[in-house]
Amino acid sequence: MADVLTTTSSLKIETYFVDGDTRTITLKNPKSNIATEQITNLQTMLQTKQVLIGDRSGAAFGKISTVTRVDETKAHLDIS
Amino acid sequence: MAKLSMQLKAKDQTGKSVSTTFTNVNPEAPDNDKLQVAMAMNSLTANTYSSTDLIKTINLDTETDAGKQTPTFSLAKTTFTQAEVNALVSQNITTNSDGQFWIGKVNATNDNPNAGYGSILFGITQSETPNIKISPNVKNGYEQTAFIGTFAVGVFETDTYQSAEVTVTITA
Repeated sequence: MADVLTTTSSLKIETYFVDGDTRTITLKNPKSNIATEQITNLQTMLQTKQVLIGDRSGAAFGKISTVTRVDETKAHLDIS
Repeated sequence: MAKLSMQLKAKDQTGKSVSTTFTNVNPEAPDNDKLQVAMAMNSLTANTYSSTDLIKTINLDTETDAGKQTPTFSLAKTTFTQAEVNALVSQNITTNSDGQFWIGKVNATNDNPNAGYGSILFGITQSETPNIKISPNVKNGYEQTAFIGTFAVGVFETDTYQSAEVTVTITA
């Protein structure tokens, strides 16, 4: 039996709040073709609607700092 | 204040259920805005949107559903009318059945001017030590409303009066 490979992807969105609080939102199974515009639109929505707020003092949402796509491949080795 | 989280539920390409929780959701944001953000987050994934739940967590040891109850009372300067001053200066004092007489008043602050009012009574009887009873009253309909009451205790001299300023904090 050959090695078994599994690949999982996640999108890590690092958010910054005006009280200095930072938080990473992890979305599993992201689309393979996310445009920068989609991220900037999400940032605008979060800034305007203020649905997510800072942890320390309920401070306002500041911005999306970084967005990282993490692809993880696991190889279950055939040791037979 | 109760903490709010949002749980986005979706299904991936194999039909498996996937959920993502967003913490520290703003309780003041309209529910529709919360929903739009959840859906926007889902649109970055290859999952099919199912639903979004709003989850509220309340620490019952320190909070209630309406939020943390921390009544604060402060004794502060207030205004006495000349008639009120005259009443005490002339010793035209009426005691109640408990032997107490009025020495001050309670006003609710501007935050909630209709919520409370009351009186401060001072009494000395032969068998008891001097006592001060603060009797705030809550108006009908405001029983569940927390309010900040300001109390005044007056020291009266012949023609003038001075108000004492003391701060008392009561925590629930």
